[in-house]
Amino acid sequence: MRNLIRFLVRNNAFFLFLLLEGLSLWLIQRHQAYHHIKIVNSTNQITGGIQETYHDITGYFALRRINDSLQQEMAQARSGQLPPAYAAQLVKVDTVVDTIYEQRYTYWPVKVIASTVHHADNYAMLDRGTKDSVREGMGVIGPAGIVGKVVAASPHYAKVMTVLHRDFRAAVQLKRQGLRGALRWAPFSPTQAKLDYIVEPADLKLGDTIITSGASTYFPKGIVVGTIADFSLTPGENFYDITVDLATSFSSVRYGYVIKDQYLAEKDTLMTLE
Amino acid sequence: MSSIVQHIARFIGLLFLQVLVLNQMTILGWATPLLYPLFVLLLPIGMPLGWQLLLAFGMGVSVDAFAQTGGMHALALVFMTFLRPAILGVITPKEGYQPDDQPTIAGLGLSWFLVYAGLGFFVHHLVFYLVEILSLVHWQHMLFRTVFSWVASLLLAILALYVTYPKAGKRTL
Repeated sequence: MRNLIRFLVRNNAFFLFLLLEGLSLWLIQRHQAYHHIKIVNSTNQITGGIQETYHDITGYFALRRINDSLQQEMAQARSGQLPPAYAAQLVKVDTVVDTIYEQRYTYWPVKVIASTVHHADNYAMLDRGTKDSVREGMGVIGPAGIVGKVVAASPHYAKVMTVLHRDFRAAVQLKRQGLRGALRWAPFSPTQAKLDYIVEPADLKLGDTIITSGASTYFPKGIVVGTIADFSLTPGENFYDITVDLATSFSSVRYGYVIKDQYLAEKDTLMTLE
Repeated sequence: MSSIVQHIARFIGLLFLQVLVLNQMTILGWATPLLYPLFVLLLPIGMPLGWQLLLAFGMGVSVDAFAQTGGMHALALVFMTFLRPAILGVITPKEGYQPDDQPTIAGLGLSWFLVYAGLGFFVHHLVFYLVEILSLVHWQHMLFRTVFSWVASLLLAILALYVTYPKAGKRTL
């Protein structure tokens, strides 16, 4: 007993060690439960501010590249590839077709002020938060394709779970064939993902484009996800093993759009009716 | 007195170097150099362990706050700090540590520092990547990244010491 007490006294650093490690574990656990955190805590306001300043400075070096991608996007918008509208068709008996376009999705421009690609689960930070109506559960796209989903928002910043996260899923489809599947990250690759649930036989080709299917409320239909990099079929399996090259370069994405679905509430109500 | 200022400056310098520069880097898409443990490795040899642990926790939590990683950096750095006396013990020079010995290249030589920092960074990186992945399913990947990032950090640490202590060349090997 005396030995034990002497041990405890002599090793008080050991208890400090245990305490600090316990504290770290608690912080990690709290962080992992990201979906329970509705408000990003105040430290993010400080670190977010510093990171934003840093982004503003380094942003100049990326201006040429950003200009190029903006131009590309303009070209896309001109050819009507962004799906901003919902076409409501009224077909009457006298065959007069009246097509009106009603705004369904709103795109808010945001800056991506920080993003990671090399962690086991990756996030990005946006420079807009609840003050600009950015809320948890909104989809985020970049100039090239999908980026992720907002998982937390503070007044001025929002945290995005990018495709490069082990919990990320998105409803997608093959553009050419229309086959629907689910997208998930190919863990730890900064550029690739997997496409699940494509049943054989399917007419697949390398380079086939994958787009969002619009089945989830995060993304409208038709946002580019990536292209097929590789596919194979294990004998006896029903589903292909498909690897996807993601369109978005997550290490260099600098700006994007937060998507709000105006019909979200309506869709939700309908889904919960049964 | 000046050494306290030096340690504070090193704390701030390493913190910002880590979160603003190194965290934005990936080497071949595989690893990020984690240089901030150098702060703990360069603390005076005779400093009470309790203080070392508290400083390590402060550094780790600061990096975590920027990197949005909860407490992963803090956990790994506190762990490394707790093992630091053991590491120092394993590689004690023949004549033992003198009161004014600095745990640097200039103080105890390059080969001593390589083993010292090598062990320290390895413990830190291993714990960090283990906690980050939080599973043993992908252990090959974890080990690969640990080693990759470890080499990068160690090279950077030696470079940093040669840059900040120009006199280090006097006592190499």
